[in-house]
Amino acid sequence: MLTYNLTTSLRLRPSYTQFDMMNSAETMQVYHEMENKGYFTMNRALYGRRGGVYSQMYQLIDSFQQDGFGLPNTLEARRAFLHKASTHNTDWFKHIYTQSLTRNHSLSLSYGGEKSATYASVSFYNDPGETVAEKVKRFTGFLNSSFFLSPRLKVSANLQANFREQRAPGTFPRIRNLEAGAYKRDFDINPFNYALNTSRTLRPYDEAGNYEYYRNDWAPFNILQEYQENYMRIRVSDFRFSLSGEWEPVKKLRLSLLLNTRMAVTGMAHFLGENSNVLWAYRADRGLWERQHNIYLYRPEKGEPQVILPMDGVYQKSSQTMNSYLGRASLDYAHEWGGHRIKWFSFAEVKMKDLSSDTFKGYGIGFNRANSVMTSPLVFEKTLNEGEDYFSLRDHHERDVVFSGSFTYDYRDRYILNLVGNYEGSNAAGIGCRVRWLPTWNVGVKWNVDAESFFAPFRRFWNQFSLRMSYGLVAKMNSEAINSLPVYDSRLTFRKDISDREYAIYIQHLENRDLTWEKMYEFNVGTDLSFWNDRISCSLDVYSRRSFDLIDWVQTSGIGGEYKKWMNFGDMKTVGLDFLLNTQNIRQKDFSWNTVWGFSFYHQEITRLLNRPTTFDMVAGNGRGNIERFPRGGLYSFDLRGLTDRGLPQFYFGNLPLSSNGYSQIAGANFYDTTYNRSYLLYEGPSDPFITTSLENTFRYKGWSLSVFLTSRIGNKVRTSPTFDPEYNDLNVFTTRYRDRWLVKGDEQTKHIPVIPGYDIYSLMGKENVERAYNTYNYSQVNVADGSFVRLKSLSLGYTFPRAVCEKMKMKGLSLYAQVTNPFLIYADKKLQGRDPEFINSGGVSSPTPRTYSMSVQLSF
Amino acid sequence: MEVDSKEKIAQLLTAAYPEASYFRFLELRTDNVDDRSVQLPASRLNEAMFYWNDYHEEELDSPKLYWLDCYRGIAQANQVLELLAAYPDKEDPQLQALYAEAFLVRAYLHFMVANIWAPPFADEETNKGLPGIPYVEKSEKNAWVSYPKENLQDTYRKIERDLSYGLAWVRDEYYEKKKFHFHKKAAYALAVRFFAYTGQWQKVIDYATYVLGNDVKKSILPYQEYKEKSVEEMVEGYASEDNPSNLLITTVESLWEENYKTDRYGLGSVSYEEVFQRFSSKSIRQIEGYFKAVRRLDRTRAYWPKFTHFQSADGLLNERRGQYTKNVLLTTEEVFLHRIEAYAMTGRADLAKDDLITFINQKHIADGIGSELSGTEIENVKPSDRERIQPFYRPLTQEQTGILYYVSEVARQQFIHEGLRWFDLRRFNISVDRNRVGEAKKARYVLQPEDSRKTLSLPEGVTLINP
Repeated sequence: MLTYNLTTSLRLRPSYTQFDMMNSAETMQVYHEMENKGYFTMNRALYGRRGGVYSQMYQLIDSFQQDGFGLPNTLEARRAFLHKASTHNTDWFKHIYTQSLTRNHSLSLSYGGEKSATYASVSFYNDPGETVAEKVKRFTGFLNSSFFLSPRLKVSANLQANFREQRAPGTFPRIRNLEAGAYKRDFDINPFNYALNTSRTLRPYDEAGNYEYYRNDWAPFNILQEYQENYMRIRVSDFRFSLSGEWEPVKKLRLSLLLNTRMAVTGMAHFLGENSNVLWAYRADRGLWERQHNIYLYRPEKGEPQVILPMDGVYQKSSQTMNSYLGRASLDYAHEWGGHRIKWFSFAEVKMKDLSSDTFKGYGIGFNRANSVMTSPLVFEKTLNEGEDYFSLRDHHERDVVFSGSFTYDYRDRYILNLVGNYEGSNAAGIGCRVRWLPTWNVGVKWNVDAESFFAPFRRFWNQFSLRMSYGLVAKMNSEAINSLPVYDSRLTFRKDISDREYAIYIQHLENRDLTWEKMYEFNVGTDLSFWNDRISCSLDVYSRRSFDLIDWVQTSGIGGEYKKWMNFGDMKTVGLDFLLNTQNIRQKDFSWNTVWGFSFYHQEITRLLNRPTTFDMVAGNGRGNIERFPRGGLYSFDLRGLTDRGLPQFYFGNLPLSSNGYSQIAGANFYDTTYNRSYLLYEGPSDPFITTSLENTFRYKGWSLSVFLTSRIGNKVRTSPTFDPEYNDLNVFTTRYRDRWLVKGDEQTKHIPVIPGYDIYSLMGKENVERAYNTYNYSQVNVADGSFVRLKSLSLGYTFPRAVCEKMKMKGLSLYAQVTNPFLIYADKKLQGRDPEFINSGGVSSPTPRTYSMSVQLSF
Repeated sequence: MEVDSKEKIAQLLTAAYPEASYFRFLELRTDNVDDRSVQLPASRLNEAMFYWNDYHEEELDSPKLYWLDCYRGIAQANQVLELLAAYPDKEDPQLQALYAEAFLVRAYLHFMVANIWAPPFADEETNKGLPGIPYVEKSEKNAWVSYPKENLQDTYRKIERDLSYGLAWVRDEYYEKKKFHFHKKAAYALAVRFFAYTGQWQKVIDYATYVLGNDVKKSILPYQEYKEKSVEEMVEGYASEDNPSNLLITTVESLWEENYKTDRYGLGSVSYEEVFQRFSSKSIRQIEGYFKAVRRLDRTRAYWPKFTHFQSADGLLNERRGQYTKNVLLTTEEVFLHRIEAYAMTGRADLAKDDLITFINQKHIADGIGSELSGTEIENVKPSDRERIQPFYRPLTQEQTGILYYVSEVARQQFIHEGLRWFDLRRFNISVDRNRVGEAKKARYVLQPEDSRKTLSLPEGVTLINP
């Protein structure tokens, strides 16, 4: 049989109305307030690292062409320029998101007979790009053949190949070593983050249709040009081959063998064209201020800062090769006598994986000149002097072994006993360590009450009733905790003169001989019920889990030499229930309606804790805010107690010792405090939802089927993204919450959004204190939202043509299908201001799932 | 990777030296700094240290980071000692050199921690009642280890023990970059500092004599060498390996190079006058070598260019990390000055005065005020100044306190911006008054001679258990 499927989808572009952002006119009003407070002086705007409309304005004022200055330096001309910018209202989403169609073609073939069966498929996926910066093309091939060599012997071979070529905006995977709680001011060209966080007073094109630039990293910047000049190309080739055989030497016994190998090569190339903002930044050396402050210039021992890349671009590549092998031998035995039946299944598996990755940075390549290369030796001086590597090589080897066995006994299908045991070993924790082998086991019993004779009178309407009970252990090792033995790191000491540098070996991890695996014991009681011949069926599981020796990265006194160590730090208990209900509400010849409802609930408490979390762990919601008798990873907040008479936020600090300088109620927070934080932090809730539920309704009428799927998660609290920036400028964007900010004395009675600090406040309090105050505000109770949501996840409609119509067209089957994914959020907390509660903690690297419409056609011959 | 050879063990020791700096947080606590001007930006660290308040943040130059770095180095040294036990041939000179370096590093780091987080050394009876610091002699091998409280006498006994092991076996031949390691002279300089702080004067003289050699004038850097130098050249020379006075140099990640010039709290007009401008003084004469070294940014800000600056790739993204400078930890000048103290304390005041005159002449007395010292300046030291010197081995004669006062004032200028003044304030029980002329006096702005704030409180989150 031959089947062809074509699926095409359209992703909807996000819009500002979803997110409660201020438009350009309101934003300009805020900029005017900042201007009056001392921001945007000509010096800062012209020569500073970043700048928006004000830097554009001053550049015009400063530039002299044949017929005069770009903009006269009069009050009216400046006001007119800024007024014009306030009307731009640029819709960055419109410029960046393409709303293009993706297409996926797939073709599959299956045939077979007595002696063999084969299935083959190929598919091709083409995505011209959700944004102008992205593209994906993917080809997949799959071939599976089974051969029945004898009634007792079957052999299968399987081959899969996968090729992908992808284009993505250039990103710099640099790790910033920030103080806890500080505001992250990363510059990101990720399309969604860019569109949402770029001022709408700026625009990509000017009146003449040319690119318009603003200032970033001491150089001109235009996002559309940047997407063309600064991009990554990713190429993946992935092959998988496996061979398996099943043999029944005697009746009741089956042996099988599986061999599997996989090879994948991933290459990621980052192209930085010579007209990208990044490289213009490397060349920004006009003027004293730029030369003094531009970090991208090379500063030799003596003399002026120099440009290390006078022309051409940069090519950075990283590639990874993976080879993995797996072998598994298993045994299956079944035997029956009288009413008894036993089954035994066991297997042994060996897995090997070798990964080799390398990176390389090439400076000075002319992409427009047949990729000719010319590198300045200063590049090497700068790279080496700053302790950076210009290439790297890493090898990673994983070896795992698993032994497993399971035994089932049942009597007349009424009483069933099941035992499972598993023993896994891996090399993850090092040579000769104590935590190599992880045990897992489970014992379960099941009683099919409906098979009992006394149940007969009920069987008419109650066709299934079984009770289950099980108890088992699962052991898990945290892959980052490699410190069962000491781990060393070899580096060059970082000294000014390269000739002074020596090799040094640093202890990366001290030995932790107490390290053991995380253990979870689970006791589960459940029941399965069905009524009216499976018209209504449901299952309910109630469980109690006790986890011991949880592993995490924990802060110590530092006296041992390692400040934060991976260790077993605590125990936890969780009780919960899972419920699933499946009903066939209407069951007629032409029309049916099914509902499936799933519901999960749990309650969790930490029962033992070795360490005390820092204030930052507690307010950031990073999963480390652990306090006894509360769930793991709780979210806490600073207690904001209104604004001062200058509009600054002030907080309650409990027992925390504060300095006596007069600003301690405003800026006295200590994110590293572990001793007093329980006395002044407020508990908001857990970071993980404790109720998860989904509801699916399917309707069928003749060839039509309609399905509606809702999901919901309830109970978690999320922190809204920090938006109060201690260092505002004319690139900041503001949500509509800012309408309620403190403006004049007296506002502190009614408002709780702090003032935008003027330079008078900076000189009074000191910049570090202002930063501390705003960072604390970002982690206070006004910046928490409920993460609960109810979402319509998908709505789909399909039609299968009747057999008669297909046969007329000489086909075996034809069907059409349309689906809307993520149509809308039925409920989410308004405080999130449009941010998706499902994605708010994911680090924000990719766009949230947009609303997607897709259509597909499937034909089979 | 495995550490399986003597070369690799040596590399473990290279990584044990401090990469955090105490210069900023200790200097801000001394009387070498004042509140320059309200207009200048004040960092939270400097302001807290200036008023002797607790500060528990983990930024560069903070006390906590220095604590963590010292114990990190101690753990490296302990790991080395454990690995060396596998080599049985104790006569092997390379092995002896490794043992010596490990003991010296361990003694040095504990000594620095004790000088910052434990009360000043006093007589034996008093020490037994004072709290010391955790002395770590074995690598930590368990997940969560609690360290017991120790008394100060035990702490210093252990430091002295490790120091003597190190001094017995120290050798230079295996060091490639001598000045970044404890070579013999650096080890002896550490011994001089230790014995001076604990009052063992004869040992100070013995070890100092080895370091300074026969022609003591050649061992320190004379003013002629840096007389006409520009700021860049001075900065280059301060931590240079070619500078004869430098004995132990280290690279630290620190913001001090920027901060000491620009922060609100630092060498300002008042402290500059007090420390460097001694125009009409009959006792402490103005030393041109020091006076000319200091540059003035403007009326309120002065600094002696000492610190170079370089940054790593991390510093490109975040101005608060990845900034490096070089610190000099031990110098021949310090050894010279301690020997002068030792001569004074062992009854050889004449030798003390001679050495003091030699020292200062190298740094050059200002022209026009009388070209050389005669020794009578010691007698001209005012009683009110002299009486501020009250070390634990008092009572002292007038001549002794005069010499000690003179030496401490010279040291104050020599080691400005390096935090060493704090140690002199502690061991001599000198007081500091931050109250400003014309403002209401506050008691907490005065650091008493024996004030609990002379000992920093243990970093936040560190608790020691009762033994």
